[in-house]
Amino acid sequence: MASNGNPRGRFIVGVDIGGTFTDAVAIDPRSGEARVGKALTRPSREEDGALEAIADAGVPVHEIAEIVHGHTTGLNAVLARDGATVGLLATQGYRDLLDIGRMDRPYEEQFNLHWKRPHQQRPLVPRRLRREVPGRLDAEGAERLPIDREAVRRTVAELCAAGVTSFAICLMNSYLDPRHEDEVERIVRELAPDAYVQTSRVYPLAKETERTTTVVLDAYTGPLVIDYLNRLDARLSESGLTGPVWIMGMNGGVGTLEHSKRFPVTHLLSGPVGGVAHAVAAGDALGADLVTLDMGGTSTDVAVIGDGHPTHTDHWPVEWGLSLYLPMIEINTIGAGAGSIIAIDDVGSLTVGPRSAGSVPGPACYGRGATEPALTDAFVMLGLIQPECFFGGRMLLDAAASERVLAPVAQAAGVQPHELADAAYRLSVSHISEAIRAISTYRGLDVRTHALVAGGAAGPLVAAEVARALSFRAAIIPRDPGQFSAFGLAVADVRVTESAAVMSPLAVYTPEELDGAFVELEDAARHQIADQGLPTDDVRLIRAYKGMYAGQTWDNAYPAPPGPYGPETLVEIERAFHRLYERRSGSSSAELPIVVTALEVTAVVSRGATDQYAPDADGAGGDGAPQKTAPVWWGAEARPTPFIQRRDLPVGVPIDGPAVILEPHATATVPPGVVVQAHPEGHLTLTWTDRMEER
Amino acid sequence: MATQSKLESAGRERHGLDVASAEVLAFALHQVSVQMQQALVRSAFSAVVRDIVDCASSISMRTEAGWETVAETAPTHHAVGSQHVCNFVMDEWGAENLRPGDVIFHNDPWRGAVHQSDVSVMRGVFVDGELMFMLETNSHLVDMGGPIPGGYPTGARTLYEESIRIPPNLLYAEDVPVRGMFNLILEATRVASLNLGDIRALYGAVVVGDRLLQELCAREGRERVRSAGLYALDAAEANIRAAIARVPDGDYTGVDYMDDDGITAEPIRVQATIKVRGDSIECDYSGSERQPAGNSVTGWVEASRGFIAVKNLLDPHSLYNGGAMRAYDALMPPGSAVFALPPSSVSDHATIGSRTWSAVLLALNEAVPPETAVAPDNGQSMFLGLQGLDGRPGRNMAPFGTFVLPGIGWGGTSDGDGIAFSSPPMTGGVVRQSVYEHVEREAPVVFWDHSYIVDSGGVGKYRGGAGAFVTIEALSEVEITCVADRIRKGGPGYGGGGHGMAAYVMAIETGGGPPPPVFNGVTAVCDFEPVFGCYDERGRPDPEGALTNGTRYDVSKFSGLMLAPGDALRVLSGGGGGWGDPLQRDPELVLADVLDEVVSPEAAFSEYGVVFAVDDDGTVLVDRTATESRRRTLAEQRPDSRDRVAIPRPWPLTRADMERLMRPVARRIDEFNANGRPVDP
Repeated sequence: MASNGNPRGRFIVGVDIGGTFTDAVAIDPRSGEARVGKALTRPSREEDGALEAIADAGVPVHEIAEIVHGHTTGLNAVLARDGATVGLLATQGYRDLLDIGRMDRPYEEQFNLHWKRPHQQRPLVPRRLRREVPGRLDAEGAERLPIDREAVRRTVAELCAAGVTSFAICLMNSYLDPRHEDEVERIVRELAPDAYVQTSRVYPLAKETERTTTVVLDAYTGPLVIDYLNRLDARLSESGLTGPVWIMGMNGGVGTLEHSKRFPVTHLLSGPVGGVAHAVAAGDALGADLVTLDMGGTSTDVAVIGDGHPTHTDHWPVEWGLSLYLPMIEINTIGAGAGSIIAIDDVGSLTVGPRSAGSVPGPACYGRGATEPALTDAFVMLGLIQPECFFGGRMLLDAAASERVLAPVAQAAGVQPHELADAAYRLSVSHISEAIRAISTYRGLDVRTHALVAGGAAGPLVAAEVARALSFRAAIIPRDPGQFSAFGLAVADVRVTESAAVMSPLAVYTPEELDGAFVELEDAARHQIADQGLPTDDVRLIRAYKGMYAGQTWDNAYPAPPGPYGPETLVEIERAFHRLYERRSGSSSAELPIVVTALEVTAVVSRGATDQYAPDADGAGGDGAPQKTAPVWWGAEARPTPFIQRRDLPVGVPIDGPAVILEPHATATVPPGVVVQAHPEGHLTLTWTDRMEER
Repeated sequence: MATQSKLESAGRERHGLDVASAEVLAFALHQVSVQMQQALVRSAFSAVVRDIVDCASSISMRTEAGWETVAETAPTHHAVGSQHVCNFVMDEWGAENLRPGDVIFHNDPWRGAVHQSDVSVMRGVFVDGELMFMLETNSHLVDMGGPIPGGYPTGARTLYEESIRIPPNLLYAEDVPVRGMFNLILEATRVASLNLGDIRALYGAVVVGDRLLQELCAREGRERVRSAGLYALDAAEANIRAAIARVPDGDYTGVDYMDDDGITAEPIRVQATIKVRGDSIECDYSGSERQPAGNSVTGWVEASRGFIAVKNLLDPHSLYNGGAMRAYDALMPPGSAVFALPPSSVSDHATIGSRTWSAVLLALNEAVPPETAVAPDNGQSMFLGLQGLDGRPGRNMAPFGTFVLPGIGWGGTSDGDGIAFSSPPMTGGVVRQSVYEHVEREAPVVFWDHSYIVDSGGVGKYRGGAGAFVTIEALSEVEITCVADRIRKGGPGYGGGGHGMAAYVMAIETGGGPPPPVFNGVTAVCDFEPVFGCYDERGRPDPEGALTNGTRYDVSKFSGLMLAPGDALRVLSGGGGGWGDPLQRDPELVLADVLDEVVSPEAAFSEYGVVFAVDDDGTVLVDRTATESRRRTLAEQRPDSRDRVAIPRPWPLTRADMERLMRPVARRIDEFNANGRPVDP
């Protein structure tokens, strides 16, 4: 085990704090035993919810070897606008970048004259606390004007007097040279020794607006997040935890608690990343390239994993015009979930989502008085969810209520209620499929070699149809799909990314120079790993670069081979660039120089935490006898369909659909033509031999 | 009992598709156009496409009506402009003469291009040997040759005086580049490498679209995809008709003016009468001025722009395509300001385009409830084109070309202040600002600032969005083109709100140091030279002043202005109109604006009737009693604020005035209360 966990602790625990629930998963790596727990999320006392979820899983804290934690404290502060009082120090003339937000608006709002840019309407930093610093670096990093230290001192004093406790410093062209920012930072630290201070060091790449936004998001959430982590740490220590607490970052890897306090914005929203980490582990264990599908009540997250690594992006709009600019896992989120509302608009078009029934009133079948049908009602109407089999039988659903709310919508559409339910099901499958296409096939990725791994309470309901529509080779339903993210946290690797802004033609490098530049980053990454108290002998290093043709500004990430480099390496890097570019853009420009904008090294250390896909993991199996048989609408035809408890599936024996597989927090559908098989490692696969048939 | 479904009552069918397939496949078609657009933007080379997004992608399908655009991602390129292009070009070319892999190129406004800088790339999609779709991508190329770089040739009266015009021609023959065409385009234009990169991006995007449509048809079947295209057209039509049907029948007229055509300083009138009849609209532009000498436009482009205003106010959220145009007819007098005749140059089209839009908006404002109505924006892009040879050390005099857009203030609305820093609504507001850290590397310029102008939003219960200023310094010689408007008054208000601030351009010298002091867009008169705009006789910006007080131009559009190294140009874009009575604005919002230096204490008093007090620890508060009294006085003096034009006052003459202006707000208020404020009876 790479971690320095509590040697007496048995369990590795993943704790995922979501908007409504806090999930805990405890795994005993030796026996393969897994326990799951749930508690209500407690706003502003999230640590209490975390301890309650751990208790609900039946795990005493002193038996925990280590905890991996995903949270959304930072994002919540941004959404609620209750972060720190931040003072922004910007280059003279540039204090309004946050309001400018690159000027544009979402395409969906292009005709809406009432649309307001979020930061103008609800600023993180009001203009009176955005102040300007005289001084300017030019586009080569040379000093055009020195920093006016007296002016900075005056400004910092005024901001302190105005109640600022956190400073964001982001200056023009500072990605080329941090000296001006360093100078300003020294003055701030001298005059405001207790204040939180952040600079472009978070991610020092060109793009003044996005960089400013990122530094400000860090300064805005940093103090609160650090405070939360300290509270959590204290509560866990009091309760007897002696092992480490790891924090999941948006880059898909975990860092130690102390390390994670350096750049809190790197884990602004880390919960959903757990699901992707889960898939990374699954891909490793099963030797497969994967796409993940994590479908909850209000939204669905999808991500791509190839060669054991999730695809990365460096832009994520927290709100429109407020983009986080950092290396992070690319997760495509769409507003389609089990609670999505089914409606027919004024002119007869069918829509599913993005409005959601939420938990109150929830779908009509919850019996809480909903008047509009949700996707869950469609599942009930089709018979896929049997009223007495939901939530392990702990909650009896009202099937008549589902039909009651579907009927008027069906009438408006000119169809029968079960036809409407089927149409809504297919429409949501299509939305999710498009979200996957956007990050896979539209980028030139051939998903026929990939498997779709589906988690979340509703993911297994749509997995087979989505996977077949996109011609995946299989769908995989992991163990406890309802705790997809928390499970993923428990098994995630340690991951650090080091990058350097370069902006130079690839051709100016000799092979040795390029290799050397990567080696430098690799050393820095190893150093960061060592800083976290981890051994560095078993570090996996992944090289990548961001490149574009000379004259462009939209760069893309490209893989770079491991060193050492010879002349043929550079030729191969160039060829691969043109090839990938052509696949994505439909054309290439082989005669133009390739400009490298950034070099990046990711260091990965396996925590060796657990392998939930171990052959002995909970794979007991049964005789496959259904709990019941009931009619289910599969397209135009209602067919008698067996409902089988997952624990009763025989291991290694294929079972033909139609069938529905039940477990306490999820339901998996096996449509006609699909074969389900339980594996000794604990997961299910769904496969098919035919082309997708017309439902 | 037979009941009528909403679909039947909307009078359309699903063309043989079931309910889910119709939605799924129509959505898939739209997604293909989105993917084409993303491929185009992300692989483009020029800032005008990759950042400013002056481009479009569309899919047109062959129907009984000709070519109809079934899906489009084209915000800045004017709703369904592609449909005109497709029909113009294919009528002439003939479908039987197009082969798979052939790509047609043209930039002819008289065949549907917006202007000669907007080039169009078209490719047929053949399914089972049948030409089923035409894909079109178009974008503004940084330069298309001719005497004036950048594509906004102010002063050109005919198309022969401006950039080159290329009628439809093969750019690729069965996916092989046609050398002659590439040579022609690249050798007649200034920034060949940017143009080549952008043309490849345009081509790549139609290749991507072709690939995705082929996959869609193979997966779903050609006829089902065709049915989905028909369904998408019907859906867009049904949506706009349902929205129009909610507007009371009647004739509504709107009038707006362009300040000048770039040749003479005469204002040009644009008038639109919207005739709402049931679920259809006829837009009659009779009463508009005759065709001006410069700044002309084609009728088909303007018909689309007027329609954008209809979408804006009545149905902003549903997907649109060619089907939406079935509910809308435009009557456009040939030879008028909204419909020039050849051989006019139509390249300086953007400003008059904003007026054909705003005339329709003003007309519709009369037809809709106040909570829907919106005050107009500042009605122009304040576009700057920068071109030249890069004389910085090590740059080898390489040609460069780039655009700058500071963004303008939009009008106030019933639910809040107008936003700032946006391209005009006529462009969809999706134009993205360039990354200055990139542009400073690519071009010999320094951007000193990009920020709000104080007191520039039209006054109102919800004020207009503030104008913005940008200062550009040349490091080697830079040639500048500028297209602006609204230099007499900024965007008009609605419901008693005032005009925004007008647009200005000023010349500044840096002498190698920093530019002279500027305070939220305001610089002492001694530190700038007027380029255009309304100034008083002492050189202060003033809407009551004249366009000729020391200015270099009496018009708001110019080209060929040379900046020497160390010269700087400052553009001030102007603000949006205010919504509602400024005396009803929450005084706490006025206080917030004052603390944020978006509104001055002086304007708070004179325009909003808000009086402040400063307490012992320096905190600024609203003086409620004095405010109420001041507002009563103002209400007696003026029935509303529709004639007020925003401008920072008093504008400083000297550096000493500047210093007074730049003191902390609390001190300014103290002094204003002690000296400057008239006492209410």
